[in-house]
Amino acid sequence: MKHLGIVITTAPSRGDFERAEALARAAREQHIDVSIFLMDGAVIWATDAQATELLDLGCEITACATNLHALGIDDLEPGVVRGGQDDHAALVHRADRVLAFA
Amino acid sequence: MKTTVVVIRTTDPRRCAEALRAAVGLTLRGARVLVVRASTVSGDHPDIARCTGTLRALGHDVDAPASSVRHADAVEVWT
Repeated sequence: MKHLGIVITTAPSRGDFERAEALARAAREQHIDVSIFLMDGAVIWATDAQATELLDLGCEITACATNLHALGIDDLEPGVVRGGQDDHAALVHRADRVLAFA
Repeated sequence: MKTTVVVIRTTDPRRCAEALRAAVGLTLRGARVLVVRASTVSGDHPDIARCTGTLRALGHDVDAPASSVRHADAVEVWT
C-alpha cells in the first residue's frame, strides 16, 4: 500500500480522530502517504493543533467547506485545505485503502 | 471504475442527509456509488429526497442490498 485515505465524519466525543491519528502516524512511519478528509462533526479538527502535528508528518488534511460554513468555522490550522465533496471523491479515487470513521 | 458503498446505519435524519450528500460527492470522480439503507430514519430532512433523487438521476443505486459491500473498493458506514 502506498496511499492510505482516511475519512472522518464523527464528532470529537466519538474519539475517532484519535484513532485515525494513530493510524496515520503508523502509516507515515511506514512511508505511506496519508490523506485525511474531514466532514460533518469532524471538521472541528481542522482548528485543532493535533491536525498540525499530522500535517508536520506529511499528511494531507482537507475539511469540507460546507460543514465549516455551517458551523461558523473560519480559522483553520495552517496547511489544512478548505475543500469539498470533490476532494472526498478524489481521496477515495486515489487511495489504495480507505478507512472511514463515519 | 471504483465501486463505493455508503451504508446508512443511522436513525438521525440529519446524519442520513449528510451520508447521502457524501454519496453524491463520491460520484464526482466517476465512481459507481451504491447506498445501502441499513436503518429506518426517524424523521425527515430536505436533503434526503434531494440527494436520493440526484443519485438516481445519475444512475446510482440507492436501495442496494447489504451484500453490495462484498464487491466494493471502499465502504463508508454512517452511524
